[in-house]
Amino acid sequence: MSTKHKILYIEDERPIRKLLHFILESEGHLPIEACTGAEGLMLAASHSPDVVLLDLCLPDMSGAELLSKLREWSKTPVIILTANKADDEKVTLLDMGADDYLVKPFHAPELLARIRVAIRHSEKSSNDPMINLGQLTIDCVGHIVKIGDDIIKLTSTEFDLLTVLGQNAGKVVTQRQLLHDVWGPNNTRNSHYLRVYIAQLRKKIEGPLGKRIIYTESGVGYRLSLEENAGSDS
Amino acid sequence: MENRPNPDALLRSVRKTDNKKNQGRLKLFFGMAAGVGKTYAMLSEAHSKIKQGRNVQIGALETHGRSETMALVDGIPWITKARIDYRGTVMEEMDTDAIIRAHPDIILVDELAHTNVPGSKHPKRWQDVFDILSNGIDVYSTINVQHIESRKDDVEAITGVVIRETIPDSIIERADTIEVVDIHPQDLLTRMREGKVYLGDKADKAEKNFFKEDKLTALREILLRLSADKVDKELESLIVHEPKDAVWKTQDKLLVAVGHGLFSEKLIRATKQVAQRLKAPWMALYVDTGDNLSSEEQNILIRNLDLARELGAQVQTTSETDMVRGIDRVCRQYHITQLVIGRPGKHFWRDVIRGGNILERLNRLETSIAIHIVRNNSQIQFSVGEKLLQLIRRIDLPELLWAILWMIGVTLINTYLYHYLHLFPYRSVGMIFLLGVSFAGVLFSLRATVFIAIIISQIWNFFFIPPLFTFHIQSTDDIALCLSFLGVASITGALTSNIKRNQNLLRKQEEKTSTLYLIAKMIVEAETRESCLMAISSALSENFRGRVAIALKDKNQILEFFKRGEDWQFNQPKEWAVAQVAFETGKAAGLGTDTLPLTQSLFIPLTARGEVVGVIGYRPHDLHAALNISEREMLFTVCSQLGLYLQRELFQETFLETEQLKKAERLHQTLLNSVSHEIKTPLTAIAGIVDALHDQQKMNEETKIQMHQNLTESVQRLKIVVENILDMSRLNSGVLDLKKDWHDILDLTQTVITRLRPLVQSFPISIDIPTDFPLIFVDGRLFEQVLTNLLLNATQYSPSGTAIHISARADKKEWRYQVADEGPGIPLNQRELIFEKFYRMPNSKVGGTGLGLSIVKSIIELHHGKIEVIDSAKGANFQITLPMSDQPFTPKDLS
Repeated sequence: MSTKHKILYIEDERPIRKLLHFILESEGHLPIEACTGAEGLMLAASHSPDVVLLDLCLPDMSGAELLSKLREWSKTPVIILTANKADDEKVTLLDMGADDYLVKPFHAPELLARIRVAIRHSEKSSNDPMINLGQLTIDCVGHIVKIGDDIIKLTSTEFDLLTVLGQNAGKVVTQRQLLHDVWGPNNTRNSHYLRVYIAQLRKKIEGPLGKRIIYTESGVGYRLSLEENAGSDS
Repeated sequence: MENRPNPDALLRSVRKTDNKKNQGRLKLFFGMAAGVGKTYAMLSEAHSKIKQGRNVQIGALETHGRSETMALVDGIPWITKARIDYRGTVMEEMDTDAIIRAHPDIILVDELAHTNVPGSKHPKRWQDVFDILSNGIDVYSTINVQHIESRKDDVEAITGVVIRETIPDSIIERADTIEVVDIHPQDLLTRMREGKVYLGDKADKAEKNFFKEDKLTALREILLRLSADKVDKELESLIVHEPKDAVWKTQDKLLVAVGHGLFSEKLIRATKQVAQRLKAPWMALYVDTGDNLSSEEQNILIRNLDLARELGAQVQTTSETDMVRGIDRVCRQYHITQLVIGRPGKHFWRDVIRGGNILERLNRLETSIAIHIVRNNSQIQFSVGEKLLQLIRRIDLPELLWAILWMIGVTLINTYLYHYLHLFPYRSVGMIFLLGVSFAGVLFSLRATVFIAIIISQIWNFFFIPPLFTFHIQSTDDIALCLSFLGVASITGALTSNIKRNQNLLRKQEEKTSTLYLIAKMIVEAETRESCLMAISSALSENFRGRVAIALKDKNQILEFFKRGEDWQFNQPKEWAVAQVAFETGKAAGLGTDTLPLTQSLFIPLTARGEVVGVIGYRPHDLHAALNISEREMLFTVCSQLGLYLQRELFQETFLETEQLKKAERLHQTLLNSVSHEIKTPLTAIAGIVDALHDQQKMNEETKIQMHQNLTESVQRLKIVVENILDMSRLNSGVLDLKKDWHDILDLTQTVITRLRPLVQSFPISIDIPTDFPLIFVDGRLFEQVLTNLLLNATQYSPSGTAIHISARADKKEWRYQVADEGPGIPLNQRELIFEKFYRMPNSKVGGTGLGLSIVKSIIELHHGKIEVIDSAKGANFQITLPMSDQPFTPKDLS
């Protein structure tokens, strides 16, 4: 990742702004700084950044307000920064189209990994029929899942679930989105489906792999990630 | 040291000036009679104040066409009078509200003793003046000495003129300045001859009689003495610093026996004067002997008791057929030392029966009470004719008619039996008559019974005893029989009527006791204040034949009506205003009181700890059948009881609040102590590493790695502390609502272990959870907190390198989750304590807030489960037991 990316961060706390500036610059990104929501929207329009980092406690507007305004004209990935892990607002925003989230205090490598994932997702076309995740390969057309060369037998629901997670690899996928994409719009509240099928999927995938790749994000959803210790919600 | 001022007295004098700061100042122009120039003096003073730039206006003033006065009125603005419609006639009266609205610096109010037109806010002008003063407006007013209540009798005695308009003495005490407008009696007489004195439109001979030199001199003396008294008192209040031991030596308490006579008014005034001189508290007692009072007598009694209350007495009523016994009981009950009574009238027969008049019998009582007797000077000696007239006036006409009908009936029966049937001799007829008289005793009053006895004996004599149809009696036997008939009839009548009276009293007393008992019971049984007040108001409504409603003040000190499903809730603005007046002044207002008496409802303030907490409103169903004296007193008693109850409630509330505050403070302190350590430790580590970063050259790779590890661990610890504190406050605040959802316990456990990896690295963790473990229905985030805290607790209390075992089992009804370590374990006697907030095991390792396990317990209890420490081979074993929920439906799919 040597390419310079423009990262806009909207954050009212000066110490956090300084930290973000430091982290982003040291990684070779081009940081753009905004203190208020209004300023953030303006800079997003004038600079068209590659990723937006959005703090949830802005003085002038709510996160949802800002996100919906931004989404009117931009598909730029948005990563939410929140101080309260019990806050439901982040889930709302994720369902509204935000790409990922981080709970303060966060670690620099975590942040950079999320940014990487977000940029990768925005750059590649989502309709790639083959998903390669290390040893794991998902053939969306042929409905075949392989670990290494071994074919893993999955039920159709398990396959759909894995596909949604795989397409968003590295990113958190909300329960709502998973339920919607796999079981349809009428089942977005039946979270117990997820518990049952995620457990089955883990047994079938993580067993042969010998490591954890599906992480649970409490109260938010699931994340398929090849990086160690990818659970952000600590 | 001896002469050091008494701090209490000093405080009082300071308070006195303090209290008056917000109040207007009252200046009285005080004269001995009309025509001495009070109004003139007041106006002159007003002009000098206007020159000083003060805003002076006239509220009420009569010039009586005198040119000197009229000239002075020029240049002072008037406040337009209010027009009051009274029975079709429009009258003008001083507009108190307009004055308060206009808010001049000084208002001139002539004739302080003036009586207002009915329908005004207050019956008396001086009450208006008090309203104005309490709004911070200075008042100048005029008053003649004859209008001072305590001097009224003296003045009447001197001049022979009946004085109707009076003001209470307390106004003189209240006045900040008194200006005596003095003029020599001869000069006044000269002025009068010159026609400069106005005596009113209806000045009659008697009033002109006022103006004799000897009488004026006497009035002048009273005036000057009164003024001297006032100066004396002021002096006394100014030199409180001087020790005056004698003043508080007496422990006297006075009691005045009040009746329904006009004379009682004098008794009350006399007692007030004695009490004032002795600086002693005093009571006014009315003994209800069961006599039926006419409405006029009742009104006088109410006025008397109100007067006593007004003058500062504690008013008490009691029921007892024998006045002396009643007085004696109350005296003993309240430790009365001095008793004031009027000289008893002559009741020969009653005195003979009871063994002496009231005075003699009181004297005979074995008490040390000093008795003051006030002579009734004004007792008028009636002529025989007047007495007869009085007697006739006292006849109860319906009762008389019934008595006559009764006699006619008995006579007719006897006539039939004797003259037609010839059943028995005329003497037996006498027996039947006697029976009739005895029955009459049950039905009629004593007076009527005696009347019936006399007439019946004559009827018997005339129609039945031979010779018939004459009052002449032949045989001496018959004379004796006739006389004994009269005697027996009278005694039977007297006895039965006495029994009736006693019964009446008993009934009244029982009613009173049962009402009070009912109220007390309601207060004790009520679960909330609202339900208590609701029950009481409906009980009172029933008992007092009217509607009762209660209003309490809210947090903002505003009177708030206590809601209940009645149609009448002080909803008329006028009534609500009266309730406000009662609330603000702390005195009863409305029906039957001095304030706004024409309202249809009575409002009594509920006082608690000297603070008005609410108002009780009462409106009789029928205005003409309003409360009688005992009911009225009863209502006041209930109000004071309610006040006491509310006082207790208030006290309890404040007490609970303070307790809660204390508890919170203690918690706060412990939290600070425990948490500050937990926060400071990682902070110190972080600060140290940050400092070390300054000298980067000195660092080799190994130190860097160590530093990084150290930092990560410190940050993790800080995070946990902060999370714990946040969770605790969330759990404590009670606003936390569970977001229950289906969860996979294995997933939760693994997620938590993954997250805690840096902290639990050195502890091998074994997980024993069956793969087919059912889904659990819990708040996932909170449950992760539970697992986190249990795991951290295990790492904290066992040496690193030892294993931690996690297992879960389920059956149909419940499921159990265990976290066991291989540390030293927990002694039996501490297995309960460790779940207490801030409890930490003795000799425990540094670290931990003492909050972890208590948070676990709170969360588990929110889920209706339990957590306990169970026996295990080695180490501590925590077991959570939670109810199992029915599994949700999950669609299965094939391959």
